[in-house]
Amino acid sequence: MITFAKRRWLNGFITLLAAAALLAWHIAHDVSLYQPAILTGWLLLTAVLVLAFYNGRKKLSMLPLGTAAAWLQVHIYLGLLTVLIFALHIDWRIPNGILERILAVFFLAAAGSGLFGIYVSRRYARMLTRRTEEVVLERIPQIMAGLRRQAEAIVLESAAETGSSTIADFYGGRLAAFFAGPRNMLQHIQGSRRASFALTTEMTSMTRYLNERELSYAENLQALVEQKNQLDYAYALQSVLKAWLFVHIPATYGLILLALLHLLLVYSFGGAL
Amino acid sequence: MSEPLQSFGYRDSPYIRPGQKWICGHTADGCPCLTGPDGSGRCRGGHECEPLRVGDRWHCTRSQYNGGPCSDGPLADGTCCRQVALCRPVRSWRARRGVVVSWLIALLAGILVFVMAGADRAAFVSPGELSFQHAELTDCGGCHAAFHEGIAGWWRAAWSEDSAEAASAPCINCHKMGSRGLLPHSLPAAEMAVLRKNAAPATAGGRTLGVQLANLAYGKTRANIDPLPCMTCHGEHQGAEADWTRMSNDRCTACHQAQFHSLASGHPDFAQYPYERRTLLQFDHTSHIDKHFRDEKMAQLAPGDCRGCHKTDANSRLMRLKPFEVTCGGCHGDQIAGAGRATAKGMAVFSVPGLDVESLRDRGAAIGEWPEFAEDAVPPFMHLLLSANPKYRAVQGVLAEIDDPMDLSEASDSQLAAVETLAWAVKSLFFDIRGEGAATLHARLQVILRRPLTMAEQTSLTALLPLDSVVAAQREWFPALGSEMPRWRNGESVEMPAAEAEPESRGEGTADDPDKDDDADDDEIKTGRDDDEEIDTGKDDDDEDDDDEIKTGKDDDDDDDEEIDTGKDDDDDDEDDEIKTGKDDDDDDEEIDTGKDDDEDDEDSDKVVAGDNGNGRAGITVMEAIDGEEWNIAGGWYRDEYTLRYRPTGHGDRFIRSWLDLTGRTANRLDESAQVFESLIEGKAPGLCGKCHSVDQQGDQGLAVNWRGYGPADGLKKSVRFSHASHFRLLDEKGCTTCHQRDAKADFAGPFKQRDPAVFTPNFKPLPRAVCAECHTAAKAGDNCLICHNYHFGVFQPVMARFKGKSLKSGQKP
Repeated sequence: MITFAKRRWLNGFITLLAAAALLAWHIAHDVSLYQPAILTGWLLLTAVLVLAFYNGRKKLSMLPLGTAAAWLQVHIYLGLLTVLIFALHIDWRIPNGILERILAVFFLAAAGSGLFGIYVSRRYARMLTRRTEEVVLERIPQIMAGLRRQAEAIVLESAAETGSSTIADFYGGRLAAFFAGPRNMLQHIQGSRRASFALTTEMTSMTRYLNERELSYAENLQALVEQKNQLDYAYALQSVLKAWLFVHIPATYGLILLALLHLLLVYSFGGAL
Repeated sequence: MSEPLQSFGYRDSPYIRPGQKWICGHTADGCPCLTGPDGSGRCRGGHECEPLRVGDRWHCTRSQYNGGPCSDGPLADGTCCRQVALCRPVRSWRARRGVVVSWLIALLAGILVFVMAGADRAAFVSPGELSFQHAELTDCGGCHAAFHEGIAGWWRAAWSEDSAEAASAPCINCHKMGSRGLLPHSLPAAEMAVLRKNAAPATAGGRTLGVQLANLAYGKTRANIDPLPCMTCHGEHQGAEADWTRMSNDRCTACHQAQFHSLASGHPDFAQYPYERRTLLQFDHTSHIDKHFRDEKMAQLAPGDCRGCHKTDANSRLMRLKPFEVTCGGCHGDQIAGAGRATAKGMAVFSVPGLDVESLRDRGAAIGEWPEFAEDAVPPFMHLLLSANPKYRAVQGVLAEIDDPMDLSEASDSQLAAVETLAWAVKSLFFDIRGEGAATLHARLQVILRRPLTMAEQTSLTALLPLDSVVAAQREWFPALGSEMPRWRNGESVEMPAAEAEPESRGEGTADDPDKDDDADDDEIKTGRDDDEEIDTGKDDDDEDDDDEIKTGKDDDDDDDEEIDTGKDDDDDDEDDEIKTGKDDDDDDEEIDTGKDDDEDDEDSDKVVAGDNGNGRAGITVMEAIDGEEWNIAGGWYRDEYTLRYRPTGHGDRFIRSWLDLTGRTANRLDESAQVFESLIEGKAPGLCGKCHSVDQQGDQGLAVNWRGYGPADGLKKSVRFSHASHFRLLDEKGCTTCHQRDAKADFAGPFKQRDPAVFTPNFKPLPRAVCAECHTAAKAGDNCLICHNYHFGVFQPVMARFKGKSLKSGQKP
């Protein structure tokens, strides 16, 4: 079983070799008075199609096309290589034409979101592991709903048993909205705990006015707030892990559509021989 | 330790299907239904379970996750008793992503369709701003033929067979590159093969990485002679300030036989550069600098340094020669016009060939009257003009067998007949010139050249041959020409007059005795008036027409012509008498004109008599008279005994130049032309053209005289370009010799004895590459190939805008 680090080194080395070979080919092509833009153009289109097929591969799980993990590795490193091909294709300059610039924006969106995706896939996974337990994103709303029900039950019980409305008032004024759904998304994505700390501080301040029985309920409620915070954190980060694909995949399909038009123009108007 | 956020197990957690498009709307409330929405996102409502009938009883099938079987159980009809409230299903993450993709693609496609169908299509698909040179091109269809054919047309164009020529056609429509424009360096395959074969080797090993990679990947693929489309090197749509000619050294080197690293390292030595051929003008720097300029007499005229003779051209690139008057004229100007020349200063153009008149007379040759004292050969010019006469051409072989035409005592009959043909050919020429003027010369040349003469040629080739000279020559040499030629042409045998009867038979002076003044035309020469003008010009302004008589031999009036023919004079005019009798009773006009004094009454042949001695008294003053040669010191026509000569007018004489150009072009196919050419180009021939102007053999094109020093044709691009002016400030005290080092031992003059311009020995040593490489490195002045080299070789004219043909209406201004 190959380790993650070893696999990264191996794949990285292969990618570097491929990049060097590509650079050499590009130079040789250019020096031999061929059109390197045609070479890199076709390579780029092929690479983008192969990368895009990764999404299709997941839908064609019945076909023996290799493991999804292997495809992911190809996707990542070929994606990195594609950035180099693109840079060579545009000759390291900002394209001049409107269509070409839009095309470049789509490529950069796809490539940039992909790089961002690989980054958050690595970093957020570690962050989630450190701060919270593994929670399936699709289950989070249900778990939140469960926490909300528990909190409401504690508040009702507290009011009924203690005859005091302090906890109920605090819940109604401060915690009801907190338990209603995912909260503090931006702060969690930024790694900030200011919001949860402020809430905890408010709860601590409230406890000064509670008797012992109420304190017992307050502690249970505090535990639920902690869990909700963890859920919010997990939801925020996992949302990001899902959200980057909302840029990556549309940008890829848009890129393919524009690239086909670009290809037609190049071959129609004598840009390529 | 807080409770885990989620439990796993079929009783504690539902089965999640993230791939489903829709999820139950109750999920957010923590109680999604088990059935879930349908594929279209509609809530299917229903119940918490679908009861199972076992035997005759219905059993609840609610999942453990939802609490297990309910206590109430199914209704009697098998329906679940716990109905689920309808919800508004929501999309899953994946479905939402799919929607975004679909909408974005739809939006993008819509925008593309909208834009492509709109007026801004060109701007949208344009790959960038055009260069400023093409800024006026606003119609994409001007270069891209399929542009206005719509998407379907684009599609067809994309799949059409393409070639370098077709792809470059839009460029070549304006940029006229010639038939070889797309070939490497615009050179024909054969020439390229020679260059490849003779390529100078690299002076040091080593190639750049790029060149090594290209060799490895493709070999020297461009070594074959395939056309290269323009866009191989010139990429448009790169912005207004894009550099069209940007080209890496590696791209140049990859195709070349000698592959090297840079100018300083590996570039082949310059061999004989910049000397590609023999110099156009034969100017031996060594002999002039080391010998002539040191002569005390010449020292004052010698240039101080190179700038005395050379200056930069309008582009400050080439060093051109200064005008002749500034450079060579100081010493050689007068020589060209004949100053100091021991022999005749003018070249013989027309001449009466010398014949053995006595023998001819004795043997009954019918050539009419012939000057006894003529002794010249037929000059090449006249030989060329005579060759238009087929009879003359036919007897050339026989005439060539005659050793000495001045001694025909032992000539065979056939030789005599040939001499007769020669004589009548000469007379015919003079007769025609006399009667038709320069037109007959033009006609004869057109027969010989088999093409019409241009107006410029007509003017320059005859050098405004003056009528007076021709008339005077004819009257002196062939005074009876007017009567003889008609008779001969009518088939009569025109016998030679008897020797003793010569004076009477001529009737018109002493034609074959140049020592006699026989001519009434002297006054005409002096005054410009010509009583016989009708004969020369064809115009007759009197009622007594003599012209036709000269030509036809018929005389139908009673005027003086008859006198010429018959020797009779029936009127009283004095001049005719003189013609008839050979006596001149007026002043010796002709002596003044020709420098000859033939009259017996003049004691000193070099002196003429003037009427007044300047003291107010009639007396006799003797003054010096000059001959025609000296009279025409500035050049022109003059008569010298039995020869009509032309003295060059100086440098750039049109007459000589025109004849050299004409005969040079035809020298390879006409011996007569070659003779004229050689007689003119000979180093010591009048005009001295051949002394400095080299002659190139141009294959089928004949011979070409190089009239000017080096000057590239307009639009000429050679493989190397160099700006002298840009380098002036770099020169030290050595000046031009920093690069141009004289080779004092070189046999510069030797190769000029032959006519192959490729055979030469320059006055200077080849340029040392190290001098250039001293500055032209990547770090200093740059060593890009295109700093010194052009890619396209040949003559390329500036681009002319394409005009659409549009006829103007009458009266409309263009």
